[in-house]
Amino acid sequence: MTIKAFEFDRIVRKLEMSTRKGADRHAWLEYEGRIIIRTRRSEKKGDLPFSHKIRQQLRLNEEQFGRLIGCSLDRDGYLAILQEKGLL
Amino acid sequence: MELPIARGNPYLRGGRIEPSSEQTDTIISESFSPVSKSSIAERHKTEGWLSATPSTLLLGMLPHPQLRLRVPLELEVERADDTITVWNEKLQELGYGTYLTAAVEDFQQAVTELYLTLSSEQDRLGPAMAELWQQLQDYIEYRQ
Repeated sequence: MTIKAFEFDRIVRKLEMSTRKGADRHAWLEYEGRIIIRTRRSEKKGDLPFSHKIRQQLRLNEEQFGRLIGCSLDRDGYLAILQEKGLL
Repeated sequence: MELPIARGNPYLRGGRIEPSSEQTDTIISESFSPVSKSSIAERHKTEGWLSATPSTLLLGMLPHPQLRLRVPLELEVERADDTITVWNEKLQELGYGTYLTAAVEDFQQAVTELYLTLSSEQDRLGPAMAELWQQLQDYIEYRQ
């Protein structure tokens, strides 16, 4: 599954992740004051290579990652997945 | 003095092998026909071409004056179109670049930033980040 740069940015906004813009874009998910998950992407536009690595960093399976890109998985749903995995 | 080997052989003139006109046409068409990167990648797979890009490599240092690696980090190398990615499974971190050195440098910067960030935020790490911080400390330490 390939993800485009604008889709990555949409995920970051949807999950309300903190970002730092440098040579690359780092994104951190915080929940109740704690850092839960981090990911990053290159500044490259268009298709992001190796999207499965981003998926691994977000601790999602392919079906969940597809729903996250496709907008049917929101922040609450994502937090519920992380809760199930004992990551909150 | 004329070299004996060149005498009487149409392909040997002045001691050098020269191709026939048909061979020349073939060489030119093969040399200048457009070859896409994807077709090269395909021929690497199907025809067993050797690649100059290694599948793994060991990273031995970080470009930070205060940090050192305790043990080398194994990086998996992948190529897709015009991008090379290096990835460390344990740290779940990656680096991108248009060539291998750039990808490794990107990885080094990413890991350095990750280490410094988690180091400064140790008191507020979730389970996954706390585990990652432990992993990072297995590989990286501050210089004495």
